[in-house]
Amino acid sequence: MNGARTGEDGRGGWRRLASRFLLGLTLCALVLSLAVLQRAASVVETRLTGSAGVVAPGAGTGQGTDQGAGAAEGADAETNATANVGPIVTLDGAIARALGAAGLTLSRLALVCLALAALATALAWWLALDSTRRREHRARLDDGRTRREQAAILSLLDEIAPLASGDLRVRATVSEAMTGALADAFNHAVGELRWLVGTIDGSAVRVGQAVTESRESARRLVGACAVQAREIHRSSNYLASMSETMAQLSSHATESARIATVSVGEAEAGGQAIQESVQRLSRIRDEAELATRLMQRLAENANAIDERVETIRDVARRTDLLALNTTIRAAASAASAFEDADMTADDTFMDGTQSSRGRSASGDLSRLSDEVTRLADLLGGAARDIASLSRTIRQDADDTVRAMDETNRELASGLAQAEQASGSLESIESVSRELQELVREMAEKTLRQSGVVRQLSTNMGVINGITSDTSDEVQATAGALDALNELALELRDGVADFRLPPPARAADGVDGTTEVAANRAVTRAATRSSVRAVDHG
Amino acid sequence: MSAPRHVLFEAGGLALAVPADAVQAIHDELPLQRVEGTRPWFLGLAVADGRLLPVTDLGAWLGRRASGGRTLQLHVDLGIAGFRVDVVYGLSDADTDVSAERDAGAVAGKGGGTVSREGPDGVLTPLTIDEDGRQHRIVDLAGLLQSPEFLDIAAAGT
Repeated sequence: MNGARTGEDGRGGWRRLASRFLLGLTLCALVLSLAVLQRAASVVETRLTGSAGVVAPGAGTGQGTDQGAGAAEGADAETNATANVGPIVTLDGAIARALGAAGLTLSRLALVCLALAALATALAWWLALDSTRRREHRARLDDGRTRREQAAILSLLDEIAPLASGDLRVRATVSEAMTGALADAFNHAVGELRWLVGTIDGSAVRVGQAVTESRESARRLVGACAVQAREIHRSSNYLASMSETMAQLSSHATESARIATVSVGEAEAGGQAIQESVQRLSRIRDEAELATRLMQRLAENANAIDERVETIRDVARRTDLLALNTTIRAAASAASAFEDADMTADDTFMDGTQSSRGRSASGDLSRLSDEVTRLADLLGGAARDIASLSRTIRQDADDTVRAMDETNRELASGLAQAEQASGSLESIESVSRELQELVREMAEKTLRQSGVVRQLSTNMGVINGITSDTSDEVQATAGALDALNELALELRDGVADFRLPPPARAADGVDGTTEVAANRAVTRAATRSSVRAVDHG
Repeated sequence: MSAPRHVLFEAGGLALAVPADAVQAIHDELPLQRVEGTRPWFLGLAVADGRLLPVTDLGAWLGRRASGGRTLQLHVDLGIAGFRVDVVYGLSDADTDVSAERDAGAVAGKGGGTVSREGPDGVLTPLTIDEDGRQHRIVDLAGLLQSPEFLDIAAAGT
């Protein structure tokens, strides 16, 4: 049908093109004829006004036999006309030059033009008649087509009437009629609308679920914000306490630095005192060593005295022995004298003077012996006393030497301990200086840390405010989520009137309407629960 | 004034005394020359005052410990002998006493003492001299010098 219509349209177009060509050709012929006639009229008028040498148009026209002369005349006339008439004459000149180039005369050209005009007029007339007939035939055809199309449209309207009530299950019948394409497009649009409604409903369900989850998250977030605010408040209190503690620590560190400074001074003084003690101990040690040497010399002298005492003892012993022997001799002499006296008493011849002399010598010897004995006793006693004193001195010297040795050892030990104490004090002084520096740095850092902690406490307060604002914002977000949920419900309500064909699991007895309603009920329940949860949070 | 009559000394731990006129001299550290084949208490021969003097350890001869001090040289009229004693205390003028041993039937000697001829202790008379709290028994030098035990200086087995 379309192919036939296309062929008919092609033929109609060809006819219209032909008629338009003929009409144009007729108009051109007429215009050309009018131009020729106007030329002829102008030539005649020129010749009538008396210009010599000008050939009358009728003569020219009548003497068609002499084309060369006519042409020359025409050319002259044209030249004059151009000089006298202006633009018309110029057109005429152009025509005349064209005709001259074609070998035609003006009269012949006029005839041709008239003939062409007549032919064109005839063709135009014929074309007009044909067009009229065709228009009438087309009108008849359009009338029948309109009736069929009206019937198809009514049928289509009957098929899509349930769509007005939101039934997206409708499907228009696609036929060969004009409404077939409409039905096809309608079915496509309904399909798109069905997809749109399903998508809106599913999106509303998902939005509801997302809102529910968001409300739950908001509830947890509100709770977390509350906990966070509480912890931040507690931390802020801790920080404040820490700041005070660090301030106290800084104060203590400053005091410790001062004490460390004093300790350094005391260590220096102690080191100097110990150095002086070391020097004194060194002098005492030297003096003790000197005393020890003196005592050793004293002991050696005592030994020498002992040797001398031994000599004295030997002398005393020899003296005693001498005294004993003298005494014995004296006793022997005395005994001899007594015996002599006895004998003298018995012998009258003995001289009494000799006996008396013998007794006197014995007495002198006895006194001498006694004197020597006393000397020996004195010498022995002195030797014993000296020996005793020497022994005592040696004993004292030995004791003193031992004591001095012990003292020297103690001094050496004390000196070593003092030097060790001096080294320890120097170490203490060095450590105290380092400690002083460290404590000073600690005090400064603690002071700075105290400021940082105070700033941190202030920042914690700001964070607490931000947390509170966040909680409020979360509450507002929860409200916005509620509004969003309401919008989702309204959206679902908006598409609730649409009835969709059952999905793939329609065999389970659940149609689209039921599913949408069930989803909406679930969304409402979840929204109510989340609202309660957020309100409670 | 009376002359001293006794020399007081100690030998072998015994406080003894001899008459002063019986002693010629007292020597100190008298060099001795040992004689082989003699008894241990016979210390040897010494030269005193240019004369040969046999020296006997009186403490050892009395059966006591050996003496190590001075040497008493007896008077040549009594005999040529010397006795090594520990200590010579000196001379004493004290009178003699009679100890309890007098009642034992000992023979009275010179000075009222008694002399026992039986063993070394027999030369100790019962007479004593008290001096400085010590009782010095007087030795019977004549008996001692005549004692066979004293004269027998040969070592046993020789």
